[in-house]
Amino acid sequence: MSEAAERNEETKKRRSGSIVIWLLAAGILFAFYESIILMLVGMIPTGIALLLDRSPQKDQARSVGYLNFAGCLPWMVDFWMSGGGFARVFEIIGEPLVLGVMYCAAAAGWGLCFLVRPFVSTYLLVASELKQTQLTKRQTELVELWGEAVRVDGDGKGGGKA
Amino acid sequence: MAGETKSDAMAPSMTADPSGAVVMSDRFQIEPDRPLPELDCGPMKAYAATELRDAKRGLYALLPDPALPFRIDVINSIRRIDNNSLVRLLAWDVIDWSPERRRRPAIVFDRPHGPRLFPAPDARIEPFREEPLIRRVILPLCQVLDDFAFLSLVHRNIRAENLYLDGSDPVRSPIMLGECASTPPGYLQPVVYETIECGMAHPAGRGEGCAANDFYALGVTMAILIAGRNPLAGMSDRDVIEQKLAMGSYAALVNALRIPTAMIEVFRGLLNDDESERWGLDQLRAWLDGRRASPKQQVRPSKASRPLEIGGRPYIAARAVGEALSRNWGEGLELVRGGELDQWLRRGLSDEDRTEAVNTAKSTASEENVIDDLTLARVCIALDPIGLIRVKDFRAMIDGAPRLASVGFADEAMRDAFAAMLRHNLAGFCVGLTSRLRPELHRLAAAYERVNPSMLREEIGFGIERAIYSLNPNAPCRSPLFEADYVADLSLLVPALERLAKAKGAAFDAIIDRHIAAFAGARLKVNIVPELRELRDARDRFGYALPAARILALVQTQTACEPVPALCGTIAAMLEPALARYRNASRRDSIRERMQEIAKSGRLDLLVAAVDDPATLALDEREFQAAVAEYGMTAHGIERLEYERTNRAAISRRISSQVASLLSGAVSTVAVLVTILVKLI
Repeated sequence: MSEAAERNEETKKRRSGSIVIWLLAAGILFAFYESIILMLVGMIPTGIALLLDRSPQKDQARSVGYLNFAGCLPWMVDFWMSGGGFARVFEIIGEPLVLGVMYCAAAAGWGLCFLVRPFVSTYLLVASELKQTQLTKRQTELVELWGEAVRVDGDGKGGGKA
Repeated sequence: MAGETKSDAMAPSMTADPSGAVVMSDRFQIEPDRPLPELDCGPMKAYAATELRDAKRGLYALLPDPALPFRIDVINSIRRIDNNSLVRLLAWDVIDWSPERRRRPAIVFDRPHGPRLFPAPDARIEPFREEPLIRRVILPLCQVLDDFAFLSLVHRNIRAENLYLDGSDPVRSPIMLGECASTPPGYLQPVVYETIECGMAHPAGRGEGCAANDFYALGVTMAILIAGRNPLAGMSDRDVIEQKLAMGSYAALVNALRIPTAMIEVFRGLLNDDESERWGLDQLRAWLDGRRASPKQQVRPSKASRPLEIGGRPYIAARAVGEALSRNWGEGLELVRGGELDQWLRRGLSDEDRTEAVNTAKSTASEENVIDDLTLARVCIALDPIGLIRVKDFRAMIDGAPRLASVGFADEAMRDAFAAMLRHNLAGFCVGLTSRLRPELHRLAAAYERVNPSMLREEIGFGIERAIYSLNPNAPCRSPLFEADYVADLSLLVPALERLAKAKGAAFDAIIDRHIAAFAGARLKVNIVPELRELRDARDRFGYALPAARILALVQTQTACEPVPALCGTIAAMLEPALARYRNASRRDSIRERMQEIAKSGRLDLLVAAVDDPATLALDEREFQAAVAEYGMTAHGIERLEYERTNRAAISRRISSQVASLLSGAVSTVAVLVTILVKLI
């Protein structure tokens, strides 16, 4: 089979897969629209985080999202166990405490990001210095054993300077 | 090679006795404070010597001049001759000669029991009568020459002054022939004792000759003894030669003497100037046995109808003209250039063969018809093609030329003349003109031609030095390093350098110079052209030291000489830069330690192998390339770390987000599980 034909085949498969997913999502939306409304309201901070986080991995948004979800889950379970219904949804989201818990959990996720950063920064600095000491020591050993020629030739191969 | 024929018993072993005496070969003791002037031989001094095992045995030692290559190639054969009528040669060696603070060769002989028979060249003694001459001189000397002939040797030192009485009675004591090994053949012979052609040659260039030379010298000796004086005494060498040329040797020596009629035959036979017609041992024996055979009359050379005047003297024979031209070189060139010689040859001599030979000499000597020194040299050969080469002051028989070049090496004119002789194949030209020369001269001429390419190369190990050492097995190494030593053969080379290393330590600039390289190249059995090429291309001390060490290692291996720790130490120091080829410092240290250990053992081949091991060099190079790659990787790693340091804020933000996300995920997972458990239970 030619390369172009293979590419066409792959594109067709991907298209058919996304159609399935959209159909599934529409089905879920239709079946659990009350729960989804509850979640949408509860996870507004995550949405904001997704908008603010410009990194491709969206790690900050994920950090906020995980805890935000954990904050929403108890009321979601209450909603399911109480039998559901629009009235119940608005009852839950009408309580300031509920929203406070949900949003505080999201804020904890955000706070975690800022709390971890100095530790990580310090760790990276120490690790980098340790690594550089090791590499410099090895370079010194090589120069002692093989002479300056190893530095000249090695710099040529490594493309940098010790 | 002389070094190989030397017996183990004669291996060099010299020690200085506390009394000042020099012990030679652990067997003889030479006493510098007891000179024996009555046994001096020309410039060579004689000293009393004793045998350590038999102190009563009377011996004497002669110290050959280190500048003269003596007859090392035949000395061991001469030792084998045990004849009561010959002063017996017992041993030779190179000794530490304390009076001159240098090493010199010494030859030990049995000491004759009486004085010289003929004290000096111009002496007068009671004339010998026929019977005593036959009984005391001719018969014993015949036996000696028979012994020499049996070993294919020639004496070349037979003269009245070299005869000794073996007792105190000048009338009855037997007569002994003196030594013949301490100088080049015929070197000490006055011109009167030499054949005309050898007399024309420089004393050092008379060549080995053949038995006929000895019989001629015997004839002259007999004539002098029967006359009680030298009939040609008082004449210059040149006059002696001219008289012999003009009259023939027999007439020049014997005509003025009163010779017993019965002896005329023997004198005619022995003094015949034609080598092929000269009496030898068989004819002399037959004459002694009473079979009187009349020798052939000597053919007189053609004489010209009018003389050619050279140097103010008239000459009428081609042979004499050739000699006169060579003695008056400038005038000779003018005579050849001006055509006077051609005119004399055509109109005066009328000898077609000589005229043709001279024309050949002139036509082949120069392509541009320029009459130069080489042309004259060829013309002289053409006029007298008897095996004598004359180029200005270089005058040698074909077989004596290398020896003369060795003796006269310091003289640039001599070197140039010898080089010209080889380059223009004068020996080949000479042997091509006549078929009367001995076959060995034809072989020598071919050997000279073979050596020519080596001589033409100017690099170290070749050139004129190589030609001299290749053609002259007796030539000692003339390296300036050995000014106070005597390196007669290859086996003495490395020990001499060892002595030098002990004296100078590591202060050598060059351990192999042009002479040593040429000497080793000529004497070694293996080809050292690659090493010589490396020496030629050497640009620094190391580039020079390694091939030099290889050559000396080959010499040590071939000659199986004793260990040389001092020389090894010196060479190890010189080879220090060679260790730079090994890039690994610890490997260099290890090889350096090994070299120091090997240096103590005195083995040059092991030293060279330690520093010049191709397998180790290849391994070192491989490991170096691996180290270079590793260094490159570490440099790259450091570069990456620097990049990370520069962009630490962004990286730290990214990683902390990931960590926070991870922690958040973990916490939320726990929270979800707890929620589910609490709500459901």
